[in-house]
Amino acid sequence: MKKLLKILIPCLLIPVVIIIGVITGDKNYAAVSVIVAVLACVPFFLSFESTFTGRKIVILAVMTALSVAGRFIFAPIPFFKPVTAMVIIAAMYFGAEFGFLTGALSAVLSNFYFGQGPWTPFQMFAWGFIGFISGVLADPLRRSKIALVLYAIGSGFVYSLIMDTWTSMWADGSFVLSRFLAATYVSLPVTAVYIASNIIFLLVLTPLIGAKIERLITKYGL
Amino acid sequence: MNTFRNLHPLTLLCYFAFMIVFSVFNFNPIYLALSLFGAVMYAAVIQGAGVVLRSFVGYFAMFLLIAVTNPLFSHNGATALFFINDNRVTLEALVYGAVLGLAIVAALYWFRSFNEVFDSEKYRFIFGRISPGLGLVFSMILRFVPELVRSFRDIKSAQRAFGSNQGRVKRYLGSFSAVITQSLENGVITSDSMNARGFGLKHRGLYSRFRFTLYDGVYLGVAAVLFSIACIGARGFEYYPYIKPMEFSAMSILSVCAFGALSLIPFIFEVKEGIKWRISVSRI
Repeated sequence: MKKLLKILIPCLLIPVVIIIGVITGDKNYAAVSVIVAVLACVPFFLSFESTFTGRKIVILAVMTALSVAGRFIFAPIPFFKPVTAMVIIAAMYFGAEFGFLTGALSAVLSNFYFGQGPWTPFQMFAWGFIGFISGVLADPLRRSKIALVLYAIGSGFVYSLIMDTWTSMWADGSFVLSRFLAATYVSLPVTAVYIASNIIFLLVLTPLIGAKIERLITKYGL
Repeated sequence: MNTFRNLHPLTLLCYFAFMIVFSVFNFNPIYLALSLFGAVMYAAVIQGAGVVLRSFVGYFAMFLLIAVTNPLFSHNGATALFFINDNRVTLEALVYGAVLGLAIVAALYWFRSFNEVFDSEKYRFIFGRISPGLGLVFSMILRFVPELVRSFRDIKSAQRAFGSNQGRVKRYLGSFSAVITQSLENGVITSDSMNARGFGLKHRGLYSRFRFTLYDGVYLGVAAVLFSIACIGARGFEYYPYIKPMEFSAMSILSVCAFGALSLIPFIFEVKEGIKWRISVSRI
C-alpha cells in the first residue's frame, strides 16, 4: 500500500491535480500549488517508518528541535535564522532523506509557534527540497568550503524564490510575471541578509557540528 | 464540555480543510463573505471580540493592498477607469483584486481559529496516524524546543558571569554550539534508554486520548453533506472582460445556503454549549 502510494503520488496524483486545476479553475495556481506541495512531501513521510529506527529517530528530533529553537534563540538578531543552515548540515551528515524530513518538520513545528498558514506547505517543501539536495551533494559540500558557500547562496535564493512565487500566486490566484518580479524586488534586501546569515551559519557551524557528530559516531558507534 | 475544539482531530482537520479549500478555490464573493463571516464569528467567540476587532486593522490593510495592487499588475477588463503611464486601470481588475483579498482574509481567519484549536496533542495524533514513529518525533521535538531554549539561556548567562566580553554574534554562536553538543549527546543517551525499555518491539500499542464518537460521526457526516451540496451547486462569477454575477437557480441558492450553514457550524456549536453551560450554572 505504502509502496504503491510512493509511486502513484509523483507519477499520477500530482499531474492529475495540475491538469484538473488548469481545466476547471480559473487558472487557480495558488490552490493547485498548495496541494502539489503537500503531495510532494507525502512520500517522504510514508517511508519514515521503514527507514528510521531508534537512534536515528531521536537524532532527527534533536536536529529539528535545534533548528526550531534556533529561530527563538537568534530572535534578537533580525533575519539571522539558522534553520536553513541546520537543515543543510543535518543532510550533509545523515543523508538526503534525513535532510528532507528535518526541513519539512522544521517548517511545521516552527509554524506551530509562529502560526500556521497557507504558506506552511510551501515552507515544508522549500526547506525539505534544500535539505534533500544538500544530502545528494554531501561529498563536495563536506570537502570544500567554496562549494559550501556557493550552496549557501544558492539555497538562500531558492528559498526566497519559492516563497516569492507563493506570495505572488497567493495575491493573484494565478501566476503573473510582473507581480512575481515586484515581489522578488521588494524582498531583495531580506534575501541578501538571509543569504549572508546562511553563509555565516554554515561556515561557523559546519566544522563545529561536524566534529561533534563525528565524535558521537566514534563514541557510540552509530 | 462538548465544544467544537473537543471534537476528534480528524473531524476538525476535515472541517478546516473544507472551509479553507472552498475559500481558496471559489472566487465568488457571496461564498467568501459567508466564509469570512463564519470565521470571524467563531474567532470572536474563542479569542474574545476585542482581540478579533483589533486584528481587523491588519487584515483590512492586507485586503486593501491586494485590491489596489491587482489593477497595477493585471490590465484585463473592458471598463477602463483611468490610465497610469499608458497602462489601463480597469474596474474589473479592481473588483477581482477585492475578491482575491476577501478570499485571502477569509482563509487567514480560518487559520487563526485553526492555530487556536489545533494544539500539540492533536498534531501528534495526526502525525502518529501517518506513522507512529513520526508522532513520536513530533512530541519529542515539542519537548526539546523549550528545553533547548532554556539551556541556551543558562549557558549564555553563565558565560557572561565568567566575564566573557565577546561580541553579541560570537557569544550567541558559542552558546548555541554548547547547546548542540549537550543536546546531541543527550539524544543518543535517550534513544539508548528507549531501546533498553523495548522501543520498537512488535505488538506495542499507541495510546491516544481521542475517541471517534458517534457525535464526531454525525458532525463529520453533516459537514460532508453540506460541503458536497455547496460544491455541486456552486456557480462562479466571471470577471473578465465584463463582470457577470452568478446565475441564480434553485440549485445555486441551495448551495449558498448549505455553505452558509457549514461556515456557521463552529460558531453555533460554541454558542449552544455556552448557553447550556450558563443554564446548568444558574440551576446550581
